[in-house]
Amino acid sequence: MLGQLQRIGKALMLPIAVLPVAGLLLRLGQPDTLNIPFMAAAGNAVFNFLPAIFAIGIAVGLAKDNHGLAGLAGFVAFQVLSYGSQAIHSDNNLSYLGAIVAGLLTGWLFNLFSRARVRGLDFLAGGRGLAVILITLTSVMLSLVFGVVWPFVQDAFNTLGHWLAATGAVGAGLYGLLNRLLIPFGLHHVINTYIWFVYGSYHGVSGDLNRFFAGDPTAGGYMAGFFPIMMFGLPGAALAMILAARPERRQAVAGVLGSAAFTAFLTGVTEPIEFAFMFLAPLLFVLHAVLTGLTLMVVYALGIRDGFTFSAGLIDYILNRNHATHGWWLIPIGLVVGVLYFVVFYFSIRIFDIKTPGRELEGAGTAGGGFILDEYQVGAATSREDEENTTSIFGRSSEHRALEYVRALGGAENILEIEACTTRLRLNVKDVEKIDELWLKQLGASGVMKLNRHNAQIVVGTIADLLVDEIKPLL
Amino acid sequence: MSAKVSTFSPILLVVAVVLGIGAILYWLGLPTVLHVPFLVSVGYAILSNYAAALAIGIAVGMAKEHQGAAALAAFLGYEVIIQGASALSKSIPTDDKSAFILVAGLTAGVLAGVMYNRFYRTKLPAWLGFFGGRRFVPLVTALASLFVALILGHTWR
Repeated sequence: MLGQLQRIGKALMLPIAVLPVAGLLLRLGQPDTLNIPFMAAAGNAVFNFLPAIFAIGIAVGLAKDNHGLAGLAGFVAFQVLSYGSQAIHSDNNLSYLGAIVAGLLTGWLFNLFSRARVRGLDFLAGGRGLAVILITLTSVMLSLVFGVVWPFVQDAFNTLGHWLAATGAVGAGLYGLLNRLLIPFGLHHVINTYIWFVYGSYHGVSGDLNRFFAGDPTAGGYMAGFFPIMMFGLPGAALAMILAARPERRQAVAGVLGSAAFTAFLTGVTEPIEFAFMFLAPLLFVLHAVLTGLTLMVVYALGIRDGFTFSAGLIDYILNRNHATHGWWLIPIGLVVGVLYFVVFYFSIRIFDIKTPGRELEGAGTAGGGFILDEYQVGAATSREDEENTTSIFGRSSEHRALEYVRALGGAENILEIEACTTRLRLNVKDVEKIDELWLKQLGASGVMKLNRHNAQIVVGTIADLLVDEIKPLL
Repeated sequence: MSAKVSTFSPILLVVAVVLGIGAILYWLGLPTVLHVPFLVSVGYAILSNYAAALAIGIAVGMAKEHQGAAALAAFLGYEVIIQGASALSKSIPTDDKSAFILVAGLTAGVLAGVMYNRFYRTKLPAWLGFFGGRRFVPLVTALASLFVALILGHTWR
């Protein structure tokens, strides 16, 4: 169940990566910036067709090997479900929820059907072609069900929306808390999708993010509070960790966490900092989630509204400054939050002797990012064609990846037990000293924790389950 | 592996079969045949999106290992071309029977396929890392499509 949800979280990354470009085009095209109407129209197009983009992206993300035919199937399934259910109830508007359901169903059915080995279907791309056809037909039948059921679903979500709106600042705070607590599992994208794309409506547009960019003055309350956290809070935490590191490690830690802090400030990508301490100091992470919740609550209560198309960094802050309500308040609030984070982190680390990066016992490594990135960005994946054309030891297909991991872990004879735990490999080995940290890092691992002589944990991200499945046959 | 067997044409054939299914459903629902408006609607859902489906099919067919990021990029490029160009010139027809959407679909499909094969391994600096790898493909395709929209918007008659 958790593993499935994590895959959905990861599948949402591809469509989410499209948003900033839409936001840039929309903002730069508008009269108060470059005033190029056709650019704004193109940016608007992306927003208008986001549901279909979600359907394609989720289907692809869930499909085995991320095959493109799953994208085609997801697109067709979403169109059929939309038109079909509207033919039954003209009020039905599948929008994002329908797109997500279409994407999930497609991904699942695609994997189910494409396993079928039907003789003589090679002219149709094998089982995958068959899968697309079966998904098309299934979605025709499902649209009948959707047509009848959807009004109730819409009512339920409207009720949820009204309830959330009635809770005001408290609701925003709860959302902030939950959003950060779900980060380790990658599940924050699941609730974000509801809040940003479904919650509330304004001139036919739904979701806090969409409504904000459509000019709804009440929207942005669930995004504004992230600016102080991401631009100032987490960089403050990073500074605390750098100063708390042992003097001889401080420079190395400053290199990793300094660039992570800059990344958070500029773009609002915070996982590199968060992953640096969430496994090493879970209590500190809970504290971070509480502070995020409180900040969102206070910012909401003060009536500050601001939004982003990607995340709450400087870039989005500058682009959207004219859309924001009392947006400049976020800077002084952010400075206070930054100091607060620094003090809380620095003294917690010192007083409770938390093993943040640079404070580990000899031989243990530092944790970095990697978890949220595409496999090609971190070099943890290469396509089969690349594999065939390369002689480098770092060229890895998924089969080779497992073999490389086994070697980096000291060989099959060193590994006594291996199991996956959400984003980590838990290992029982003969000798932890035989584990090659540098090699593991090059393979895409973001953290290596040697707990004692026989136990170690390797943070590899959501591929953990898959990787263990691949490694086990090699032992 | 099947990656060796399946190349460009089987993918396009799948698109053709799906569009065929749409056509059959549409025809079955017509008043002169079974007279089921629901079937007309679902058939129309597929048929009216034929150019987008074609764009996706071409891109997936061209992309290395038929990766899905190319599918998403193709659809994105398709919409950017149509919306961008029609904002430049009000005389461009964008209904589902116009030749313009076919041109947009073909262009976006090829563009996304080329862009995938060129950029899927892009390594960005750490602070932009989230957009690296295959996620970079929809972004560059959207930007390239913007130029196509600019050209078509000024030249389409």
